[in-house]
Amino acid sequence: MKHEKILNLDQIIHAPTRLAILSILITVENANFVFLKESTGTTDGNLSTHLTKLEKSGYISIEKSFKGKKPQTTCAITKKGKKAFESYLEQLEQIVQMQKDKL
Amino acid sequence: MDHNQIQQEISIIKSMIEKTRRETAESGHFLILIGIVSAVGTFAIGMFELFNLNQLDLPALIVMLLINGLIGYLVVANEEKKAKSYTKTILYNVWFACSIPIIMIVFLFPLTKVYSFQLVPILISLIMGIIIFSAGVIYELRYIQWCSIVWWGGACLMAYIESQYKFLIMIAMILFGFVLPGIIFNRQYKNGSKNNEA
Repeated sequence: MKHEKILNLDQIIHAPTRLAILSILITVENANFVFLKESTGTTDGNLSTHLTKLEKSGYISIEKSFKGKKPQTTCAITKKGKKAFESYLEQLEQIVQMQKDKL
Repeated sequence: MDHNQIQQEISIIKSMIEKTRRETAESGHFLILIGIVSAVGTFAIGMFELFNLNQLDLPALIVMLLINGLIGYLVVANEEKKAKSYTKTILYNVWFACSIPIIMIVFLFPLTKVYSFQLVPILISLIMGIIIFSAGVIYELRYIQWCSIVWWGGACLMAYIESQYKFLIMIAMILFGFVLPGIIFNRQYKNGSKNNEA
């Protein structure tokens, strides 16, 4: 039972780009699209897809605004996202511990 | 999930958190810029007093505070353009909370004759010490915390020394209590950026 629970990692966070996005957003209050793109090293389209997936899961909130004529997309992690990220970390820790125990 | 995958995930989390911390670190630009403006302003006010042009003190003080306010606004707007960090929000709020009593100390109380203008630099120095000490605590930089002693020690010195050249003490305090911490922050920021590029 415990194994099943542990191996049942959150697939939304499990993707490397989404994991990277959440790792950034957990560190700051909010970050804009350009910052996330530069930090994760992804393309505009790829980042948009991942952000939409995270938003649909309720892990992040996306705010679209205009600064002058330039559109600005600002992302922030939600409470649900924080909880999910923390439990993901806990699960990783447990897996590491399990592997250590095996050895 | 094998060992390599886990290590990969942990390294993504670690590198992203570290990179973000470095990118959003305090650049020190604000302290350096307002330090320079305040040093020049204090020198000008000192000169006005030496040459008995006291009527120019208050306008010079207002101009100095307005320029510093504008610098603060521009630096914050520029640094928060990409990402807003929790540490910076705390520091900016400390600055904001302290700028209200500073305005009272500089304008309200002396103009309503609660105390003389002579007390203004002493009281401002006490508050500046609090700001610099808080910045050191927030960014976990002990040597920045030590810079606050410059402000508190300087306040004592200005309180007990009677001289026309008191403004020179204030300028030294600004250089060691603002510009120096700004340079320390900036060095750390630049080192962090270099590490990011590497």
